[in-house]
Amino acid sequence: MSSFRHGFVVALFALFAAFFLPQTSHAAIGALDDTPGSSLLFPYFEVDLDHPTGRDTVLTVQNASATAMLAHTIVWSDEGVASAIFDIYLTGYDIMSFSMRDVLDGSLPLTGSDGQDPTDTISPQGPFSQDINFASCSTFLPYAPGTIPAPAGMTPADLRKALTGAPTSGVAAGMCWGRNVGDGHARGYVTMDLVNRCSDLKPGDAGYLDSPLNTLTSQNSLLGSFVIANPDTHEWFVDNALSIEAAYTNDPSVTTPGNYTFYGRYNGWNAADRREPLPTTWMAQGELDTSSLIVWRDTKTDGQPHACGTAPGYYPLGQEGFATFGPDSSYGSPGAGTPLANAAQLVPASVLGTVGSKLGQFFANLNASVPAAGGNPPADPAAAQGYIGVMRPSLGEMPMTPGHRAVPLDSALDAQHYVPHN
Amino acid sequence: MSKSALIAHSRWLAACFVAAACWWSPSAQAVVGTVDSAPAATLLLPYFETDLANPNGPQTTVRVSNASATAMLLHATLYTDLGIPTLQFDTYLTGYDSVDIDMRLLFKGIVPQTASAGQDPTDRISPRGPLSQDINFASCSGILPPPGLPPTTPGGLPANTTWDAGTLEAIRAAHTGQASTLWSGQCGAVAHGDNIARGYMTIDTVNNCTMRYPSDPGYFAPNFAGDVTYQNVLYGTATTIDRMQRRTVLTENLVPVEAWYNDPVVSTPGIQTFYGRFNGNTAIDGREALGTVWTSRNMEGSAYAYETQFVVWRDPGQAVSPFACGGALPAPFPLTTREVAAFDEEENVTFASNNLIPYATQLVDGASLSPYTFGIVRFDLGLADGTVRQGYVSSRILRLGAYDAMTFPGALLMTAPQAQCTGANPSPPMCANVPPPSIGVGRDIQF
Repeated sequence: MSSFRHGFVVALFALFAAFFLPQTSHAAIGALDDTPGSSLLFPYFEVDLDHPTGRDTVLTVQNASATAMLAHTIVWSDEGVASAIFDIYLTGYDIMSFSMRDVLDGSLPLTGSDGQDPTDTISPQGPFSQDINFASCSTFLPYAPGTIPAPAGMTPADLRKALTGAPTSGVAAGMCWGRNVGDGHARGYVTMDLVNRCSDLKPGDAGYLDSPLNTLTSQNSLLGSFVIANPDTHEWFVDNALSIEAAYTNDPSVTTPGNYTFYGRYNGWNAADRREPLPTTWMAQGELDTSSLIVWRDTKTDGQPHACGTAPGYYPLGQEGFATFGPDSSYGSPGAGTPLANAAQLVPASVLGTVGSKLGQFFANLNASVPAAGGNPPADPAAAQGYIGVMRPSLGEMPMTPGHRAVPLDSALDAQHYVPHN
Repeated sequence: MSKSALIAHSRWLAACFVAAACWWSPSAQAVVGTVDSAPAATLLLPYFETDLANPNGPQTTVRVSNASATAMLLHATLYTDLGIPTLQFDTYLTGYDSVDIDMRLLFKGIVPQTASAGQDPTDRISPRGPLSQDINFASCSGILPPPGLPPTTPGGLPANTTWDAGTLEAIRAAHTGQASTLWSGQCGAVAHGDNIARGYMTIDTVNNCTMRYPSDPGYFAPNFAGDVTYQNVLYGTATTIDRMQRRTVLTENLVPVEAWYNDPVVSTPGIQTFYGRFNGNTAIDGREALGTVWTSRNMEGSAYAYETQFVVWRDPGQAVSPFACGGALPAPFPLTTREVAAFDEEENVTFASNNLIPYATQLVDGASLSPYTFGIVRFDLGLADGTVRQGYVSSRILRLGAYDAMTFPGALLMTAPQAQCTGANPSPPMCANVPPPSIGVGRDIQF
């Protein structure tokens, strides 16, 4: 190609780009960035309840500001049913780590705001840290050992049943809350929201996401991380929690009713939560035959305990498609069926498809229309937010499992309904 | 593909008058102005180590992938740990292609074997998949594929390398802090007294093969006349293995630096951009700056004998010149920091000295910054005089001898443009499109 023609082509590409390529956003809303958010999603946890030194998940939450914060924490089953609800008080610049194994034993993070902790022995205040009283927490913090404050009637024993797919005995007696994989592992995901009062509420309850905001705030101060570890097998997966920013201005992308927001499924898609949604389409490097994928998905429904042996209303979550590529851009056979059917799961990467080489990259478009969601969100009923992390096998003689987050290709604010295909 | 679909597809192709655009697959939304996970036009490997004497010492391998169906030309540049460029090479990716860059082989003169369609008419060097574009970059004739294909003996290393033996020796010397013929016997890196090459690497999307560094005139130019493009399609990972000393292996995502041609956030003169130090902060590179204020985890000691190392990359703020070996470091080194504050889990805080992160890239011992077993460290990578400088931070938490290691990407608290614009009164015009930082998060930790 002559230099003139090449320059002409480039110029025409620029013209095309100006009209057809995705437009930028000046705000960080809609970008998956590791910056402080108003909500955190820890997309997957797993605890081997039968082996104390087996797989466990450690969560860490950090207050990035000097202002005291209250983080409303919800443990969800892998089918998206709220199974445990508690609050964590954070002074300015506070950091709190806890293991999910401890939570499942009824040992919740021990915190107290100034009113519950006047001597600063529970939640100490540093020299640059604010420590204030949340009066609403007087009946909540600090939590007594062996208790799960909400949902009403929940106990550590029932929590373990709920998260392992066994029928609970007390609350929602005889009902199931999650998948029964049969291995004694508790599975699910965790959300943390900045709130202005302690409560036993969950998204979907009156007063939590109502407009004007009754409980939820938009302070964008939380950071977090999680480690899924199996000391016995030297497996580690580490990632930052997904930081979900809220708009404290009237950013129309997350304040327009009908648009996709993170908690849209709980507020009738009225954007009262003002929180950006996650991406829908992802790409990642990895070993196509031995890597595992941590996958979180929006069920677009408000999960409830259900009769054991039956599937939740959203099940199974489908997808718009997968693709796999070898390192030489060879194209493989995409996976079929609904291998990512639940709200949270750890699955072999091979479910996305196969290709004739070991290393490569895989593509997943997690968009899905969910009949039980009733044509929602209105802006794009086929859009569905999600998350993918890659857990890789040991490298040669190394017993390590280094992992990394997949790369998002869009935001559910403008979902890309595209799948590479022949 | 069915016949009717094929016909429709062909008609669509025929209707497109820009070859690259026709193959464009809807990839990431470029949200410039924040360090977000997304395909990008520039990737930064913020720090690498390559033991030139011992293959079991620390080694770094990079894998870069093209997230689009469009063929891409990449230009990689290596820099010393003082930010002086030393070598560059081009790599071609067909659509959805991936390439491995082994730093150990790079320092032996072996670069990835790739070639565009014109140099690879039989598709054996850079095979094209069925969904992938494969085009000719005529400017790469004589450059791609790099020397070294095929090896003279099966399974052996190629007889010919991209750089001659003398140049290779000079490159190795440059990255190990020794006198280098690249600079007439001057030095260009910190002398650590070992045979470990250190530095960082950038990878840019370009529209022609080039011998230029980002610091050279013409690499960036207005109206698409330079070498670089603004195609946000690359992502990658880096794996670091150390079998000898630390016995660790870890994988980290490369740092994405998105670009946009005419977004005022990255095109307003005066606003810091990623390559601003090479273009007088004219923003001609169109690439977002990284953060100024970061926070990252640290763990030291405890029952698990953790050790934290911070990867810290910093923008020198200007082009850096080689210097007389054994003498003082060149300007602007050593770099100071505006504030480094370590917190424990009870919010006790210790402020580190402002001279502990002096280079363009380095591993910093966590214990030198924080006296605490568990906590976080907050970095303001501007200078002590308040000058805003971009940078990047991540944590490597190692359990020495046990091959257990965790990497935590740093969390961004404030971008360089936000730091430039926060508190400015009156706000200069260049700040008109810079989004404010999160409420409650400022450069200073006091509330």
